[in-house]
Amino acid sequence: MPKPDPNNAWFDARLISLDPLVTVSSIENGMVWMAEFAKESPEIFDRRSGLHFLSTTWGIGSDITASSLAHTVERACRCLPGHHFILFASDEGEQFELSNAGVDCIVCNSSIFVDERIWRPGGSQLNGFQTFDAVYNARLMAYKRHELAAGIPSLLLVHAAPFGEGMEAEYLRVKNMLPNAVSANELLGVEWFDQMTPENVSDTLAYARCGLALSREEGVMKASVEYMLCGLPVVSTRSMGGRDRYYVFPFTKVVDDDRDAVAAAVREVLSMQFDRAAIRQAIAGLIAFDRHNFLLAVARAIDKHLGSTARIDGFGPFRGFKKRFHKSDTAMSALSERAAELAGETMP
Amino acid sequence: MRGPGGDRPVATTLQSAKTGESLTEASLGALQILRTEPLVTLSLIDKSHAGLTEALHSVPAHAEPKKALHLLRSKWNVEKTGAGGLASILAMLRQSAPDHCLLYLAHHDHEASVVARLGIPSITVNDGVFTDTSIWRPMSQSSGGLVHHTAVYNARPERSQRHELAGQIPSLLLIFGGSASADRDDDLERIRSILPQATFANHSIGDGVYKRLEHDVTNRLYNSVSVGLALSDEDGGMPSSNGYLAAGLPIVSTEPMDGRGRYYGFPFVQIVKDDPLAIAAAVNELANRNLDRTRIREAFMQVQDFDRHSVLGALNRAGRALLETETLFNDVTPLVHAMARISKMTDDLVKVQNRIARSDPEASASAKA
Repeated sequence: MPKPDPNNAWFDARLISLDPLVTVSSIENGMVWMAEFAKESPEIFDRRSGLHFLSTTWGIGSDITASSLAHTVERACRCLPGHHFILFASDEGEQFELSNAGVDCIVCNSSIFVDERIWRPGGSQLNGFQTFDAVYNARLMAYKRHELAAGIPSLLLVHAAPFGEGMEAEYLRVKNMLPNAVSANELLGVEWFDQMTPENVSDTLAYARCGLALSREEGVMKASVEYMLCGLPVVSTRSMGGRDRYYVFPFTKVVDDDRDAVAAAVREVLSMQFDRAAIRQAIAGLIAFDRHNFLLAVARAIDKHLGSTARIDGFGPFRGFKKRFHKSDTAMSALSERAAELAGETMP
Repeated sequence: MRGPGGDRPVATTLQSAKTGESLTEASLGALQILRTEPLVTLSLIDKSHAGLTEALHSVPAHAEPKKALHLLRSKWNVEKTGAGGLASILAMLRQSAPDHCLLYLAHHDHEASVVARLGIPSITVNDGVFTDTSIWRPMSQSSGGLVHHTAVYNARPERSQRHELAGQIPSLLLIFGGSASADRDDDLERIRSILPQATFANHSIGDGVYKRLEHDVTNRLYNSVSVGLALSDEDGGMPSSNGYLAAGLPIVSTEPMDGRGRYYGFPFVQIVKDDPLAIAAAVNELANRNLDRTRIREAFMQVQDFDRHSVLGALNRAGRALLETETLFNDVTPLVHAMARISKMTDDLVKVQNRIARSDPEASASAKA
């Protein structure tokens, strides 16, 4: 894990409520950056108490452990004494790990923040696109294991550049490994190192018949739920991080780490000719269920830790959280702007 | 959606290495063995004691295995009773089998956090996971001569269940669980005075005398009403609420501060204020919508399957971390069946108490003491 650098801190944070103070923010490189920069926004954080929900971008496993997260929370508590921090566990398995390390948590899979209004079947017509058997929306990084898609003859790639050194080499490595794959970025005229907009990716998914999820370990991989909201069945390998929470349907297949098994599973789900609208409806039902229980847990936490019966006004304030990460100054400015808005709303 | 899986046999016996004694379910009491090698058990915690502590003391074979995981669940709302009592119970458990691992099955996330602060890992397992959808179901021949009522409230006859909030519902069926005691008679009289319009199902079926109802009878009653009620403010989970949903009943509930709200994210569940008029209005509205019972049941079963899938994943993860066992369970059937057996034992005990109470109230009081 790279050493945390406050001069290059990127995160997402949302001010959910000012009074009582409730926020949600991401943990990056083992740091609750919002807490580190809190003293720069006294109008928000200079309070006796506050409740801060935290979301990791990587699952609890070999790189990030529950005990390392306990240290992360301890450090955040030192930045904001008297405030309370609650981690999101992507499923009950992570809830076990966190509770075993004495870390306060609620079950919340970050995939519930995906904006279902963007991710839907259909979309705009795109020039030059044919229909592909499978699509893999994944950053060009080794942990995404693109090589497991090598047995699929009709493959579309949606990609963003890798982090760190050797970006171009990694791009070329994947290109050579999958010579038949077509880059959606290139078809749409987006540079390989740039990220496509969510709207563009959603339009692209209309040209694929199945989505792939091939990493062994990562975060919740929101792309997996995005596939399903767009009506695509999913073929995945076994994984850590939380994406398999939603693999309870006949249109989700979990296979061995084997390129032939992946290709066979793709052929199988294609032969079953699932209805896109039905897939979307099924996954939307589970997302709605998880959102409902997330809001119940948030309300209970506000009640227990802040002694307030204030209710968050629906899921709206959380929708789209972690869609984009911002440099620290931008993220903190956005919090201050939101604080001013909320303060204005409560003025007589 | 995939169901919980096949019918693997559930391990129910445990052999003592020292005495050769074979222990069956009957000798285990409320302690249920989900599997052996490694040993995994399920038992309940009461306000003042844990069945597991007694089992470990009275049958030393339980404490013999080097590797064991004991799943614990509270019958009560831990937040209400306070974590202090639970802490002393857990401390006793640890003394009884210091090398064994404990995993608490919480009704909701906050309870899980409260227990985690006591040093015990915890996962959320809602009562809905244990709901037996083969018992609770819509029936084509619904009431079989039973009078139709607009709403049903299946709850213990206690003040915490707030029966008075149903006071504005003219057509109301009440079902009472729990034991028969002198206190309970007072409660029944109290409810009779505040809800004079209500039909007392247990007494109607018992020809004027309280009769504890079997599940199949209760399910038939559910099929003779339009709406289920959930009015308490301090239940641990309210299993009857999940029974309503599995039987296809829409629900009117007051603000749920407990685990029952988990399955209330559907349009056929209305959450209303603690106000008898608001409750009656919501009941009328839902009853007039003539909702399809099968669709309500299917919606519930979908999220129940989802919850079971998540619980299974968490149990296996705990097994890997605590017992170094790759897969503890292939499906949740052993857990669901074990909880059903515990519920059955509790029911049987209550029936005995009821019989004693009816035949000899004084003996009942001394037996309870």
